Amino acid sequence: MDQKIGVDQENYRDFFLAVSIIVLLNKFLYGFAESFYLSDVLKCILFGSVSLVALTLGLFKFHKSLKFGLALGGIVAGHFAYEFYHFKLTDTFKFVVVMMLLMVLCFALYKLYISSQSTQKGK
Amino acid sequence: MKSNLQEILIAIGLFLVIPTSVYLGCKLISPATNYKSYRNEREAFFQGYSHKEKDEYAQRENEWMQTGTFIEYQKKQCDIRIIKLLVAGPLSVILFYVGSVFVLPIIGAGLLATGLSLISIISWSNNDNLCLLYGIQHNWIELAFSFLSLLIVLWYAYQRSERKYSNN
Repeated sequence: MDQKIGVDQENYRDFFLAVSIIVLLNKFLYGFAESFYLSDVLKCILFGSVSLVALTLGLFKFHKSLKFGLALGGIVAGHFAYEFYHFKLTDTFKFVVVMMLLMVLCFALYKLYISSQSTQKGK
Repeated sequence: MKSNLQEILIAIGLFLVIPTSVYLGCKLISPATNYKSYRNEREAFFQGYSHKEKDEYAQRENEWMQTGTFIEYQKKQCDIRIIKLLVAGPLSVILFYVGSVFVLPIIGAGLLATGLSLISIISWSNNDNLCLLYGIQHNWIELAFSFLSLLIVLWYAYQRSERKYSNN
């Protein structure tokens, strides 16, 4: 019982660790872009690439607070990348980016399905 | 259950008291600024100038930036920003570290939340790139603190993630 309470309590810390990662990651990126006076194109590329890396690491590599922190931080960074997007890109490029995101999400869903299947077999 | 409630109350108390004391402490040692009289003086200076006439307004704004009132106000704002940065910055890094490793998880969570609120105190202060501290821009110091905090949080989250993975 005590052990269960301990695990539940650790979940609070995991939640705040994830929130801290989301806030600090985006604050750092924003501060970095501001300090180096990056143009909108460079800001978009910086936020976009960090977003993709964080999403990929968060969804496939890590567990617990780091998983949520990186995945959600990646989504927020992706949103900022979209905010800075003022330059013209071809529709083909946009389509490729969206397809890449879709592939990442499909793969994450597949891995989730596999892990849930193995958990059920374990029971 | 009782100790759980006690922990939650202490965590909420810390979350409320630490940022408030930092904010009030910074306010006490910061130079006093009379925002109302500054606004009134500015309004009087811009009397008769409209935003619609862009060139004239811009010229008037340049003239305003040469006035003693503006320069003094700017200097005070810089001082306030430096004080907030140098007090809340290191404290937030310490809170992120202690919050990640503290034995009691709920208190640790509260300390992490407190670190986040200190970060917001730094962000709320006047963001002016003209301010220079010994030739170093404020943004760089802020960037260093946020980078350090991010490293600490990522490292401890990584360790927890690995521990969870090895337990499974």
